[in-house]
Amino acid sequence: MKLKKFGALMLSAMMLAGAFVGCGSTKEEGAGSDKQASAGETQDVTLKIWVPEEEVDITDAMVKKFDEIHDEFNITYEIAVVGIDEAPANLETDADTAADIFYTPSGGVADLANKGLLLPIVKDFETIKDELPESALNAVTVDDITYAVPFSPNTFFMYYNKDLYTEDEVKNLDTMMAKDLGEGKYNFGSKMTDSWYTEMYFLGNEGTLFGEDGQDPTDCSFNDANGLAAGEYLIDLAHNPKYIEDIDGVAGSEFKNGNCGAVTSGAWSAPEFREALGDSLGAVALPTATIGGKEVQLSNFVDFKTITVKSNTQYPLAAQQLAVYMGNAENCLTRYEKQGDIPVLASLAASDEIQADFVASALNAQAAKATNQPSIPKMGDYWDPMKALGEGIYYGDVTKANLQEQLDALVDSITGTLTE
Amino acid sequence: MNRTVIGLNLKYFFHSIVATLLMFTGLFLPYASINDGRKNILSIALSLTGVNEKSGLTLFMYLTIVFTIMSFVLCVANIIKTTKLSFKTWQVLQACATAFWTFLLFSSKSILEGGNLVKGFLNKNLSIGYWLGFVFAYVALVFIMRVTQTNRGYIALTIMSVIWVFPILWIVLTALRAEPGYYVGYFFPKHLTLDNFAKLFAADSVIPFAKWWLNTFIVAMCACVINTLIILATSYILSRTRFAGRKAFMNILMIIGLFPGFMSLIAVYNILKGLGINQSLFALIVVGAAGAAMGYHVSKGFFDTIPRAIDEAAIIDGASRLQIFTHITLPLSKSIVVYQALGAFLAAWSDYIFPSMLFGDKQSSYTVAVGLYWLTDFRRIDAYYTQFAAGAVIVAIPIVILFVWLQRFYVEGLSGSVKG
Amino acid sequence: MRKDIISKISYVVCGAANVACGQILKGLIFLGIEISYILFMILTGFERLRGLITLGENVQGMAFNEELGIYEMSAGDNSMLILLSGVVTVVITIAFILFWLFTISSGRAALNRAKEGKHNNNFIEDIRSLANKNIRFLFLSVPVVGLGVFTVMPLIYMILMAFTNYDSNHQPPGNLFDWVGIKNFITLLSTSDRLSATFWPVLGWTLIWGFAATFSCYFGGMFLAMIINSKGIEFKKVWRTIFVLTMAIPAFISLRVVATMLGEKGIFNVLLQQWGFTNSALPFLSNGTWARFSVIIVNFWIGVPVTMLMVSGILMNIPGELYESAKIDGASPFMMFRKITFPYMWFVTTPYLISNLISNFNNFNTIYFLTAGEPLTLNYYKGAGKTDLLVTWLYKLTKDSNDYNLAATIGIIIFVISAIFTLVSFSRSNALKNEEGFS
Repeated sequence: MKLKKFGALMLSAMMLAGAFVGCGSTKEEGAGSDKQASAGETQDVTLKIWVPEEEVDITDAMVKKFDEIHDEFNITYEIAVVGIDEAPANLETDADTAADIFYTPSGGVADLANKGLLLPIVKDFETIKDELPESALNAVTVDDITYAVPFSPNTFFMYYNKDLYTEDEVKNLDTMMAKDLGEGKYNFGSKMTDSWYTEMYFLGNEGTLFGEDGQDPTDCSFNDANGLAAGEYLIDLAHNPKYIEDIDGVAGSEFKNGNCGAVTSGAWSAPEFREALGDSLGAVALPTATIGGKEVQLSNFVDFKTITVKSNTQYPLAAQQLAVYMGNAENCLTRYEKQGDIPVLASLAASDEIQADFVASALNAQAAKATNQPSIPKMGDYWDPMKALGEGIYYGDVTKANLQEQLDALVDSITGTLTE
Repeated sequence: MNRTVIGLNLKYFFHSIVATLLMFTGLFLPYASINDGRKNILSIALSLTGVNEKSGLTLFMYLTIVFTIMSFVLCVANIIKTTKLSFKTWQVLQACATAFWTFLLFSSKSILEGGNLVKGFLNKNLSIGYWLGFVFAYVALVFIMRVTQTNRGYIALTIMSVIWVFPILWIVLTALRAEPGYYVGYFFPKHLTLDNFAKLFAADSVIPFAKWWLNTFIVAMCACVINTLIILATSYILSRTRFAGRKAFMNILMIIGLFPGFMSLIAVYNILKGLGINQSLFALIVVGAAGAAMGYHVSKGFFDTIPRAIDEAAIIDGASRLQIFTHITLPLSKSIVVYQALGAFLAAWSDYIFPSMLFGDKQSSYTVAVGLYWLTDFRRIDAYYTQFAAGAVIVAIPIVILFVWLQRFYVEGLSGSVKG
Repeated sequence: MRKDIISKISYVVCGAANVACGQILKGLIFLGIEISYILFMILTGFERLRGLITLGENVQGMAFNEELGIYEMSAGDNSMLILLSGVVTVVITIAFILFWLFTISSGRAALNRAKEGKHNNNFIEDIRSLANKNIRFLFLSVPVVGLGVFTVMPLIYMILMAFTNYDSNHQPPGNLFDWVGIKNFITLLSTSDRLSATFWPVLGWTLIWGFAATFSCYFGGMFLAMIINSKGIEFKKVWRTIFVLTMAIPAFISLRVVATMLGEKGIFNVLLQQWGFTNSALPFLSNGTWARFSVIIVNFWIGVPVTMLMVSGILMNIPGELYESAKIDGASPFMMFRKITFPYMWFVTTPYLISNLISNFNNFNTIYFLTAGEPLTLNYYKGAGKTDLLVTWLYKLTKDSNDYNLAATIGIIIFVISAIFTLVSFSRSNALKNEEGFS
């Protein structure tokens, strides 16, 4: 009796729900089916754009200008604040309410493209293609199709305090660590408990992640002899009292107070460091280090900030033209001037203005020495195990005695799958 | 000692005297091992009076000595002539002495190092004199309180309150701190300000905090009313009526509570989208209300304790079930109503996971929880930490008010309830 | 004879029997619901059920449009939405079948009563009975519909996901996924040493955590409430308010703040060093064992006030005469607690304890915001953390590898274990069995 009456109640409500869910899933507006305007006609276009909160104003200006240039579009637009890190997850949650144009880190491009969420960028792309370095193009290309417009390299390099180190000293990490900076001062700060930083020792010492080209999900050489040497180097560094671990920005604060000689960080730290240290601030590529008896250049991941278009946009033509426009030289320069995003385009990177900017030169110098961050979906399995290794080393659970074993576990965790 | 004094329980008089004496002895025994041997607290205090630059906390040491001696004096006075008044005075002085012996545990390092008596002091260097004073201060206080027939719970409550309030105080102080930043090496801010609050509500702020606060308030108020009604109705039925399928229903509720909820969030989102209410505050209220029934346990347990005889009598008088619920059960259960209402309000007020996914890019619908969490992103936390704390304080205010206000009903409801 | 025919007709035409017995409005409502169900099935329902079998056939297409010089996408089927809408349809159908059985029995009852010459309720009387005899229908309808739509349907969807190949290579909307039967269970249970090497330790910690978190808060809160409510404590309201301050700040904020306070350079370490308790930072959250104690203690800090409030309420409900007579018999306070307070409390709060225990096993929030499962360790697969519970570990598996099918499978295994555990431990508990009142 009881259950049956409940059934009756549920039924009526669920029929309603069902009917609506039906609308949701059967509503297949064939994307790309927008009525293309014939020559000379103006097409009404509605676009939504996601940018980080600092870029709302400049993006607004960009879209207005784009609308002026392109008579064939009459653009109505909406700009919402969604950061570059948050955009991919929001897109996956609901592609219908997602923005037509948004920022994505190049590391996520391949994954989103495999899920069918990105629209290939073709129209107008040739206008900037020649100016893009090969590494940037590789990072946004999947099966010979380009899915994103890269506009700025993203990697970390080294800031140093000119009062504490000379330009020559910051070329080698061991020279730096050997120098006595005085009581209460740290020589070097980095973040080995963050897997975005830890790889620099391994990749620097000829290690590879997912093969030479970053495409082979079964390969990771961090547990070979070179990897072992890199791990030992990290253990020594962690136990060096002159090293400070940058947990929650601690090293950054010490650096700003003049108590730390050098820290690894990215372009985003430049404004606060400049404010704190003024002319004493210097920036260079990562130093070399003597790992396993030979001097090697530390090499980290580089990826790119990119502009992408969602696959089910109603206005693919306008959207990708705007995306390319937002990534062109003029707008990259604006973004550099207003936001400090260092442009990737060759003509800008070579310009006097950017050559004169030591932060930009450091970033570009490091980008040249860096390794492209693999963009295969398997990359998702890299972060936690590597972080576990970094934490283990820093907190002393990983010692030289059990290092090999831990590195084997690391590689197994990164390359293995649950279903093998 | 076979005296009797009205209002005093002299059974423990002797114990109090011994404990006070032992505490007093602590003054003359070695306080801490200091460079050149062990000194007692009196000689340390004496040598500190000569030092010009000493820690402000040295006052604690003087006060410890003063109160200990005064307590001893009162002890002697009470031996000579025991009155209620002098015993109460003794108790107050002993409480002060106990507090300061405790403070010394936390300030010895500063006092001794501030007076240049010792370097690198650790509390394990404290000697017998201190520990004797510290332990017997408490013992004496307990016995004196037994004599004056004061509830010893005050001691436990005081200690627990300090522990419980400590982190809250830290949040409040951070909210009032003028110096920005995440980590500071001191407890009390160097400069106090209300700017952090002002910034949250400033028109040009990146965070529309007032709007978020209002959103949260609306949701929490609705949840408070609707969820409470649903929980009470469900638990009333499960407690007071018997029908086929009742046990099965309770088991089903328990079992679905076991599934990890986050995995079905995406499905919930799509159902809401099918109903056309995704990204809205209404959706948050609906989903909260839909799951409310699962928390029926507590109020069902409460209803179970209300004698069924009352219901039966009312039925004989011709009351309907609904009338029994509204006119008899609810008035008897004010405390549980308040408990559930408070719980529902709190839960809605601080829910994070689902709202963070539900709203996506629609910042105008954010609740404070989602908004505040957004501030703790690693790139923002250093700059916004004090504002984050200010936000936390503002969020807490309505709940404190609600509780102070509702406590009256709480207690009334309890005392008015049926006895066994 | 006529009765037979009518009751047979009412198998097909819902409510026919009721109409025949004079319950016209009721019968028509039954019929209306039946018709709308049939319409729904014809319009979209059968299509959706078919989708549930195929999980979509058209793959998203991409073609180069020469004229415009761009790629154009043609939307394909979204397996995930198809699965979900199939689940909705199935649940609706089950609900309809229950409803159909209900109309039949309702019709039969009406016919019987008519035959015996008894009165059949008219519609208004039916409505009235909702306030009395049938009050459960009135009170439970909203919760049942709510749970059905927002809990049960998503749950079925999640369970079904374990029987598909919805992994990183089959992500909608770009790709379709399909049914694979119990393949996921077989691969997980038979082949994976990696999984079990992590699963058992994590399960062990989940159990320890669940019990420690639940009972520490339970007894702590009871202790606190008994002190505050004992005779001779003044300003009870003030004391309660002090402890409730912890509840006033949303848990995730206080957890985030406490996490920073416990950091290597956090205020606790700063103060402990200033106070001379230690001269090097204590690894509150960075050492596995320390971190496990820390999370339990922080949870204690957050949980005690909640229990305190609840227990305060119950304490006042204990009949005062019990204490009076115990006092006359010369019982010590401890004896009174053991013989009167605690048994009563235990009786009233067992359901609370059970639900609390379950929610602590699944306490995603506390762990996620306080430690996010850290410190991580390579002894666990994929660097799961020492404070990871099964749920937070599961969350990482979904987030990092996008293997939704495996996560759902593990979710089901976790569920089965915790369900067995809960049922075995508590199905025989007194409070659940003996609901008829404390004596």
